[in-house]
Amino acid sequence: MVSLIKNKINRNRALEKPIQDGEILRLHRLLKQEIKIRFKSKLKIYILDTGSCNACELELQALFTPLYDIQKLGVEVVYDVREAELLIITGVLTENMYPLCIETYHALKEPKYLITVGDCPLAQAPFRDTFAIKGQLGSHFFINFKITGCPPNPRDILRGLLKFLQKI
Amino acid sequence: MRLIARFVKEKETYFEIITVYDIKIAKERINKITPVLVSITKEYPAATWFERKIRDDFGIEILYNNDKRPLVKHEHFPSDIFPMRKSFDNVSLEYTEGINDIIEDKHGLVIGPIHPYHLESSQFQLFEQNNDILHFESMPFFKYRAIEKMVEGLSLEEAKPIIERISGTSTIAYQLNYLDIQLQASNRVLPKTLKERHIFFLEFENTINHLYDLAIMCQFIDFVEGYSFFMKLVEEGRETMGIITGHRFGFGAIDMECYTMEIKEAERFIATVEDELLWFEKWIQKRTSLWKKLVQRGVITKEEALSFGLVGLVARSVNLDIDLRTEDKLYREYGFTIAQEGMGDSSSRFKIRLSEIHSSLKLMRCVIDSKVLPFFIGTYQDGEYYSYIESSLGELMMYVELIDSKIERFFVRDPSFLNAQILSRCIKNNEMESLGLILKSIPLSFSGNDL
Repeated sequence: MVSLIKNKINRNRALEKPIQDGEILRLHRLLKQEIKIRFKSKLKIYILDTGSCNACELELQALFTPLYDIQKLGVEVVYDVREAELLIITGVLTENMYPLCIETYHALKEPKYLITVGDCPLAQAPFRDTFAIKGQLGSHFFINFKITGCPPNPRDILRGLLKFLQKI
Repeated sequence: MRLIARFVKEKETYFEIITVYDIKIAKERINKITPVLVSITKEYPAATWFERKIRDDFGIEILYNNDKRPLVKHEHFPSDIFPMRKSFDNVSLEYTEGINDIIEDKHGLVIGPIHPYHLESSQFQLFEQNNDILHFESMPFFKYRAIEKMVEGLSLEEAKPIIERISGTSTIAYQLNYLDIQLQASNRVLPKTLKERHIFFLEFENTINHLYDLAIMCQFIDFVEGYSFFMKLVEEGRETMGIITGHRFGFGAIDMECYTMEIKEAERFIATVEDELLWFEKWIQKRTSLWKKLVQRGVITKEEALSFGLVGLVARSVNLDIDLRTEDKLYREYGFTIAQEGMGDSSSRFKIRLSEIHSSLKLMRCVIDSKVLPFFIGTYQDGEYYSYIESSLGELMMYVELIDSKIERFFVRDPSFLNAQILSRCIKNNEMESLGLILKSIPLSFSGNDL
């Protein structure tokens, strides 16, 4: 008993993992399976923010924290688009990002998979048209899958990612 | 005198230059035929970006500002268009040849638009030799959505959903700043209970942001356990924010309707963070190797902070007492004290975040209340309104001019607009390995900065 209490006091809290509920475990299992079949267990993603408020990036980043832990499933963020298998775009498409967006899309290897996260790329967020915004991403690039929300929460992104993988 | 902002308002026959200092607001008029403005960069180096933006937005020539590069208008942006002028109302651009005259050096390295240091778009130009950083420059406005222009002609209500989405991580601060303008325009004062509710949300947002920054700083010093520890708390924070406001980031949280709050969830979060943080502080005390990686990295001196008019915890990490919360009666009533450090390096900015989380949690405990009464703002009077609030990044300033109840001019100065200008100084001469740490130790939001 004493040792149990002692253990509790001395435990390294930083190493404790949050409890993953049934849904996360189920999504993990299915995602792992899909990534194994379609991407040989390693899915490299490149995240391009074309003008977001950062909420979508933070929700994407949350997937790599101990609760959602998707690096365990073989998902990895890369910082060179030429290495990536999947391009994720967030934010409204700004004029200043447009040339870089074209460059990034061209550098993405074949087959080009592009998914959007959030309402902004689809021009569904409450922003209005200005000279600095290039309009819907879909009118410039082919979007394979759309994960909507403002921002979509990490679970929605996981569900969306799974649906996309099952679709291709 | 501290420079807060410098911006332009276009009138029928002249341009009005508004320069906001901490103790006064100076206004000057210049003609529209040959508009020339005398730079104040000699006295206030941070005026550089403001003046470059003025030149891009309105086509006003700046005398004695040596930095002739465009700031807002990137490559492909037509050089003869000045988009903030009232006469320009196009919603698309016709491309011309590139106007980018940023000098590209083959020995330098341009990092971006997405790089490991930020998950958002900005570009950094870096020159390095033998692992030492010789030159560093930040190139912002990749995320420029022209929010200032977007909200012109809208009513205050119509613009609200846009304002709350300027920056996802500072949405509560932006909403409160905007509410303050609405209150000034309607000549109303918030009841104490509602004000306390808003303090609660603001401090909640500050806590989550500080926890997030601490996590990323840990990641950059290869302290994986620390990263996991703080990220767990960030996720709990966002979940709790979702339960109490209906949105994980707090979009739409600042409304005037009567609503109840899940007080138990909020209390549980406060208790968890307090307890976990105390354990963490005790735990890292003996880990000297960690502090070694933080000490003397990205040093900012008090003189630099003063001359660049730095705000927020970057200023407080060099013993400056710049915190708008100390001027607030309610904050004082609850015994709010300013957190300060003296070294001006990454370790100071790490420690200051820890102490600010403690004071935020203490405040949140004091002001937590389950119910507030409904409140109605009423009608708005035309006029000019300025508002200031202390966000987790520092002092956030907003300006609105209302004519016929519509927004005539909207201007925001995000704390990042001042603080990002110090990057080139505090990163220079550091080792390449510290780059990510220093960048993340200075709280910046490019979405707020680029607007």
